[in-house]
This record gives sequence, structure tokens and C-alpha cells, in this order.
Amino acid sequence: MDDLPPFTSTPVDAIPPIHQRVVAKFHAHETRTFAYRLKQLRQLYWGLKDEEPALLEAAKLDLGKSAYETYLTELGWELNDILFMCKNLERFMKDEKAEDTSLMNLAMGPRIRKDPLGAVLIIGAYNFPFMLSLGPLVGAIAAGCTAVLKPSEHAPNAARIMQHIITQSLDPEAYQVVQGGVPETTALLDCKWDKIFYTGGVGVGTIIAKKAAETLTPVALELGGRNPAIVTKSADPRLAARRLLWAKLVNAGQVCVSQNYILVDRAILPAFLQELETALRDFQPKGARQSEDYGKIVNERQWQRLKDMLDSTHGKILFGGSTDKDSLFFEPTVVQVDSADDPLLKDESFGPLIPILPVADLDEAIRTANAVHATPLALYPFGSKADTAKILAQTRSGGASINDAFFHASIPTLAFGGVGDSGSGAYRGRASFECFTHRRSVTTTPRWVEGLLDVRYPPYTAAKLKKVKGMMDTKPDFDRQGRSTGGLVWWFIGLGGKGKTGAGARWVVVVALVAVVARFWRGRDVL
Amino acid sequence: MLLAMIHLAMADLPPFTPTPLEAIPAVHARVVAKFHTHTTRPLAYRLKQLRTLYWALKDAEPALLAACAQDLGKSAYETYLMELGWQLNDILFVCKNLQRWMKEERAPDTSLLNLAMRPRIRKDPLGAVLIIGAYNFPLMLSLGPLVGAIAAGCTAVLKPSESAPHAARVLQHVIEQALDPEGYAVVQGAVAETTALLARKWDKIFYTGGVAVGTIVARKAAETLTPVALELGGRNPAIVTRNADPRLAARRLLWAKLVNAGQVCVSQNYILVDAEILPRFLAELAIALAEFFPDGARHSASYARIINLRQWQRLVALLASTDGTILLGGETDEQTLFIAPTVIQLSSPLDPLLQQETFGPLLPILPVPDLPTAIATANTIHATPLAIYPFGTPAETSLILSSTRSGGASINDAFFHASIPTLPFGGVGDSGTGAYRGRASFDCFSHRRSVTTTPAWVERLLAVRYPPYTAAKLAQVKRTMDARPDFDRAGNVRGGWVWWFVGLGGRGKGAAGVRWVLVAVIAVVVRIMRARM
Repeated sequence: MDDLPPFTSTPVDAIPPIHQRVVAKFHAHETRTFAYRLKQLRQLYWGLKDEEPALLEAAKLDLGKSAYETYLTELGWELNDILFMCKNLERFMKDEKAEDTSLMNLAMGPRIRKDPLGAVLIIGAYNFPFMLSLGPLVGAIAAGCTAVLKPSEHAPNAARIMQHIITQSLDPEAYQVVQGGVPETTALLDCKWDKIFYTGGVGVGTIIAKKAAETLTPVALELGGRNPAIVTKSADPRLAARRLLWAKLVNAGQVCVSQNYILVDRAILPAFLQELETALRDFQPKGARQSEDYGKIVNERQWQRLKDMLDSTHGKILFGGSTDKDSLFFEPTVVQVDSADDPLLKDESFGPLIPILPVADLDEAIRTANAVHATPLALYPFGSKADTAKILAQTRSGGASINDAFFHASIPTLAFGGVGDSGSGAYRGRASFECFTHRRSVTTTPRWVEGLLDVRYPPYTAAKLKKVKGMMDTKPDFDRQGRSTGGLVWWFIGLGGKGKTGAGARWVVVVALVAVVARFWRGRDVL
Repeated sequence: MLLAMIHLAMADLPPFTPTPLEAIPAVHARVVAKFHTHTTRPLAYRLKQLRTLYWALKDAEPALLAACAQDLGKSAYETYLMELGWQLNDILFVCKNLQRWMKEERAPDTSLLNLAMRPRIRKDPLGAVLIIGAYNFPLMLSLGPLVGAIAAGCTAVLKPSESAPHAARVLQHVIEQALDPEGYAVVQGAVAETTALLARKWDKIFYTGGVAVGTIVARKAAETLTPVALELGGRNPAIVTRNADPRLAARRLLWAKLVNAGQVCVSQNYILVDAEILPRFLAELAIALAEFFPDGARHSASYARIINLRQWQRLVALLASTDGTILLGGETDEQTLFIAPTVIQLSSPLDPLLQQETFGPLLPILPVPDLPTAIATANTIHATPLAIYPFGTPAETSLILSSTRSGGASINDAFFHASIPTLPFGGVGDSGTGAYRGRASFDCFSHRRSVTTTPAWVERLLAVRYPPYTAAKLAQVKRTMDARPDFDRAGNVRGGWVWWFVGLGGRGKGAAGVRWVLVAVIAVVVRIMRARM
């Protein structure tokens, strides 16, 4: 890290030329070829691989992240992501045959081309400074876009090393890093992009969405949410406690997809709390403060926000609660709250707070979750199959892990994104490619069909209308009340029976009859 | 008479009446509340709505044909082909496939390690949505998205275009008769009513129309992070290269500007023609025009009128502002809102006819010296149009596609891609966002929710993820997750040892094949020798 220049904001007046440069490069159409994309991805891989020590150090400096966490959720993750993309890119880029095309239209070969969206802007976040910056960038490169990345200024060391790597490994005409905070971001947003990919909070996300809307620029917003975990009385209290506690230890709870609060059925509450305590001792035998695995809060402003939040609760602290401003330490803290209006449930805590709200039953849990936030980023139902299925069917969320905390978000190939105000657009795995790709519907009309197309040209005669109706009309298989009527073919297939069981019974009878007749016939032959 | 009792006539309907502004919040609250009952989610509910909608439309056929004739002078042929028949088929298609689409999908590309958690994609409805229709295809552009919303399990409010008031009246009647009034409602009106609708919080807004209003909708939606699908227009180019078939290009492009009197967002806005082929192309245009309208456009029952006086005046003013030469057509009639299909030869890409979407029966033609000029001109006029129409050889048309962007494209034809009811339709950049039709209509109003289930028995295997983090755990993680690159620092492929064995150390498939052949030959020879001994 010492070899790198200190974190320096990009001069604001240098930003429009940078934008110009990557736009011009896109219009050269060179970034569209498979070979170009692959070359960039491969170089980025080695650029990252060769800087492993510096990357680990940067995450340690910025967030006190252990090498284990940085490798698992950032560096190793991203390296694998690049290899996955390299391996599958050719397949992703291929034209797709359009689905469900009727016989009539097959002659025009309807297909979906995968075109790059253009020059894109990616704004990273501080909590996973590498993954949340490089993940979208890999998608943009794979899709054939050019891009400018603005890493989060709150993880300045990670930002420095990323700038170094990108400058070293990627085509400088097409890929650039802009460093800075609000003024630099504002300058970037003043330029016209073909897509803006932002990871962060709702406040800035809304500013970006409004700015983008002025020029009809599409956005992918990876925001957060007041994600509920629901522990029903049919849940395994030990597993629920271990898994949910773990989610709040990773990156000291600074994970947009971790649960913001836990709704626990009163019947299981004592067992659940006891298991939480056991798990905490398991994971941090010497306590959180002494644990080398446990990160710190990113900066004093965030630390203070969390402290104020904790001070404002009307709930009761059950475990934890100790903090240290100097080292930005914040202990994992379990708080039992008594109302859905508690400040801990009103905001996304984005830290190691674990508020628990006891509920009377599953219906109350679902109602409460929908009232606290109707469209969170994720949802974590714990319980029997029936309970968890009901929870999924009566809620909305970006994603969900059943009987676990954010497992769905730890599968590198599973599309990840929010819904409603927790975000729009998804990425990761193939979705990263799709996120920066336009699916362009294309047909080719051959010369020889002109005779058949005659029907579409004026003058429109009654004969033409009749011909069109004959060609295109399909018949309904239901009546005015919406009941299925079935067609002649189905009558034969089902032997006139109503529904599958009726048809099945008739077929059984027919088969039995045939068997009897056959046996009788053969028997007579022998005689 | 009996038919008249079953089949609805326009005279049976109340006149076009805007919804009172103060009633709008209550309409919104009703469909939101309905969504939160979760009763719109089951297949049976969705199917029932779609099926009753089908019959209501079917039974209103005469009224729907009459409404489009009154609003746009549309012939029954066009209304049936592109609106009513289209929509009826669309509903049947959705009914037939809905169960399949609603099924959870297995997540693609899942590694062995994660299979135990069964990663999958659920299809959840987005919620309560707002659909704002357009006047040019008043039925298809309103009902198409509505069918998608119903299919996805959403509740919805539809605001048809006030510029096609007769179609709006029938739509309101049909929807009120056919659909669950708690889940689906029609709001009638113009700017004031739309503003009142946009002031509510929706889970998605689907808008079809122009860029200006589209931008207003997008900005308003952004305030509450509401996703939008915008079906806008664009200055769509057609490019006729010197190797194109002039007759087919002329017929097909002319046709596109006759449909609905050119009031089609996806029709070409201008044609770039290689100067070499221009005379023949122009001659073919005149022939095609005479063939399509033997008695002239004005007297053709097949030719529609401009929607209203304001649009008619806009088009006439636009035509007056051009510096080009009118080659064909040019006749207009204010009384009947008639504008003849008009071919204009331009001399500059800066001509007013190329600076905006004409949305009418104008065919401006700009001659270009070669293909690169055509591509550069098209990219300059509008970098992200709704569609592009290249005419020429496969090499030329593929060069055009790979050097431009557009929502969709028809090669050697005008908007054929937009006439396939199952093909996703939508823009890119400022020509729109989001696509629909066929399966895409369902997807447009669905949220693809990624879900995993972690079984109890994997807890032991998951131990590696829990602190305390030891060096052994990191090593285990690296071992289980790390993939190896098959390329070196210069980006050249470098196979692994498995491939070395498979390829017998040969570089590439050819060399490996040769080595294998060699090995086989040696084996055969050895065998023969041994047999002789």
C-alpha cells in the first residue's frame, strides 16, 4: 500500500473529458468484440491476483476486516466471478432464439441479440469496497460497455488500490476511475450515461434516480431495506440463533442484506435467546472486543449514528451494548423491543444491532413485517415448510433465504437485487452480463415471403380480413364464466372424461378391456 | 336484434367523462388494499380475470371496431389485425402459458457446493400498478400491459388516452364488466387526472407515449423509487444500401407509413438511401403507392386519419418547415384530418423532419454516398432509437446492427419484429425502458425473487463460515471455492493438466486430434504385429 499515492479526489473539471473519452471509445464499436472483452477480464484477474496482499491490507485499514472475510466475500469472490464470466461469456453473448414463436413467424427467425448498453457509470459502496465496485464493473466489461467507476470515498485505501489495478490492467480509453465525494459524484451525474449502477442508501439512491430520470437514463439501484427475519414457533431455535447472529458479525453488521430485526414467536423466544447467547460464546470465545475476526465501524459518523440509534431505543439490551469511539468498536448487541414503532425498526441500522420483537403468532409477524417495510431487500423465514411458504406468499422482498440468514446472497451466481424501494435491477453471475446488456429483438424478412405478406398490404378487402382471421385466430378453451371447456382433441385424449382423474379412470377401463379381449383371443387360438 | 343484445354498441355507453380528481386517491387505495389481501396471487384468480376479459372484449367487438373508426378513422381490418384480434390472441396465449411461467425456475449455473440450498427464482407480483395508455393503438397499448399485470398477479389502474375518447369509453365498460372491481379500475382524464394518479405511490408505472411526458413520469416515479416501463418513440432510421432490393424496400417501408396513417411509434422516421439506388427506390415507391391506393389515399377506406386537429396542425407545420422537395403526396385536408402519405427528398441531416419524431405519414428520404455515412448519420441523429430497419446484404445489415443501438430491428423489412405478438418489444436508452409482449408481459410485472432453503443437515458443512476464523478455515475456503484460470498474464489460454491429458499435450483441437490419430494408428499397428507373432 505504501507504494501507492495517497487518496486524491479527481479534479472536478477533469471529469467531463473522462466521460467523453469512454463515450468516444464505445462509439468506436471495438469494445463489442468477444476478444476485447475477454482480454480485459483476464488482465483484470491477474491485476487483482497479483495485488492480493495490498487488497487484504486495504480492507483491514478501512474496515478492520479480517483476511478471512476479505478473501471469502471480496477478493476470492471477485476472482471466481471473473473466471466464471470468462468461461461463460461466449455463451451469454450468443443470439437467443425468441421463445413461443408461432409457426407463421418462424420464417423471420425472431431472435434476441445481446447489445451493450453503452458507456456506464458505476458508483461503489464502502462496506464491500471491492465486490460492490468490481462486480458491476465485470458485468459492464462482459456486456461490451465502457465504464467509469467511482469507488466509495469512505473506504479510501480500497479506492486507491482499485484505481491502481484498473489503471494498470484495463484499456484506459474505455475504463477509468474517478475518486471523490459529493462534488465529484455530482459532476459525474451531470454527464449523460447509458446506465448508472449505484450501490448505497435510499437517500443518495433517490437523488441518482431523479437525476437519471431527467435524461431517461436507466439505473440499477442496489439499496438496503429493513429486512425482517421471522422465527416461527416451528423453527429450530439453535439454527435460527446461530445463523442470524452470524449475519450480524460479518463486516460488523455493515451488510445491506443482513436482517434489520427479528420477529420471534413468543412461544419460542426463551429458547431462541438462550441459543443466541450460546452462539455468541461459540463465535467469540474471548468476547467481541478481543476477537480479531470482528470488524470495526467504517468511520466516526457511522459509529455515532449507530450509538444514537442504540441510545434512542425503548427496548431492553439483553447482550452486548459496549462501544468504543476511539477504535470505532461496536459490540454485537441484542435488544428486545416491545413495539414495531421502536426507532431500531424504523431505520436500517447497518450495524451490529439485533433488535428482537416478540409476536403472538405467524399472522402478526407477517402483518408487522409488511407494515415496517413492504418491499425490503431480503426476508428470512425460519420454520416449517408450511410456515415459510406462507411467509413468502404473503410478503415481497428482493430475495429470501429460508431457514438461514442471507445465504441466497452468498451464492455468486444467483441474481441479487431489491424490489420497490430496496432497489431495482439485479446482478451477479449471468445477471451481471444482462444488467449491462440490451436484449434487442431482431427479425429478418426473406424475399420469398413477400407473396405470403400480401395480406398485410392495402387495399384491405373483406377477403383479406377473413384470411387474417383464419390465420391468426385461436379458439378459447373456456366459457364466459371462465370454466374450462376443452377441445375436441382433449375430448379424445380424455375419452370424454371430465378432468384428469375421469380421463385416467376411463383409460384404465379401456386398457383392462383390451387386455381381457386379447387374452381371450389368444386363448382361443391355442385351443 | 338478438345480436345487438349480446353485442355491445357504442350508443349503449355513457359519454366520455373524466374521473373526479377527489375520487382518485380512493381508487388507488382500493387496488392497493386488494393486493395486500394476497388473493390476486393464485393462478385461479388470474385465469378467471383473463378469461372473463376475453369474452367481454369478444362480445364488444362491434363497439370496439366502431370506437377505433370514430377516434382514428381506422379500418375494421387494421383494428382487428392490430388491436382486437391481437389482444384476444394475446389473452389466450397468456392463459395457456401462465401456469408454466408462474413456476419457480431453478437458478442457472449453480455450483455443486450450493445445490443443497436449491437456489431458485420465484415469480412474485410487483404489487399495485398504474398503466397509462396511448391513443394510436388505444386497445393494444392499454390492454397489452393490463393483461401482463393481471397475469403477474398485480392489481392495476388503467388510464386510457383521452385523445381516443371512444375507445376509452368502451375499455372502461369492458373492464368494469369483466374484472374484479376491487383489483382493477379505469380512471378517465387528461393532465389533471394523470397528475393526481402520479401523486400516488405505485409499485410500477407503465407508460406508453412521447419522450416529454415519459420524462415527467420518470422523474415523478424516481422520487419514490418506483420502477417504470416506458414505451416511447424515437427517430427510427431505415437504411437502404446499394445492394438492397429496391422493390421490396419500397413496398415494405411505404406500408409501415400507411398503417394507422403513420401514427406508429415503431415505424421509420426517415430513410437513408444509398445515392446509387435512389432513382430505382423512388420509382418503386410510386409504383407501390399506386398499387396500395389505386384511387388515391383520400378515397381509400383502408387509410386512417390523424387523431385530432392539434396533431394535424403539428404535422402540416412540420411539412411546411422542411427544406426538402416533396416527391409524392403532400395533400392535406383539415376538415377530415387527412394527410396523404408524403415522400420528401432532403438534402441535409439537419432538416427539421429529422430532428423530431414525425408520428405521421411522412417519408423523408436522405441520400447518402455510402454505408459508413449512413451509419454515422443514424448514430448522430439518434443514438438509441426504438427501432432500426436495415435493407441490404447479410454483411451490410449485420454491420449496421453491430455499429448501432436500437430497441429492436427488422432486417429487410419495416417493423416486422414489432408485429410478432410473442416477441419482447421495448426501447433502449431514451426510446424507452422495459419490454413486454408474450412472456415478457408477465415478466414486466413480476419480481424475480431469488430464494434458497438451507437444510438443517448442512450446519456442519457451514461451520467454516462461522468465527473464530482460523488459518485452517481460510485454507479450506480457498480449497473449496477457488477456481483456476486457464489463461496467463498476457491473456493467452493455458490449459490445465486435464486438458493436457485429453489433448495429449497438443496445442488446440487440431493438434490434439492429430496426436490421437497417431496413438490410434500405433495401437492398431502394435495389435496387428502381436497377432502375427
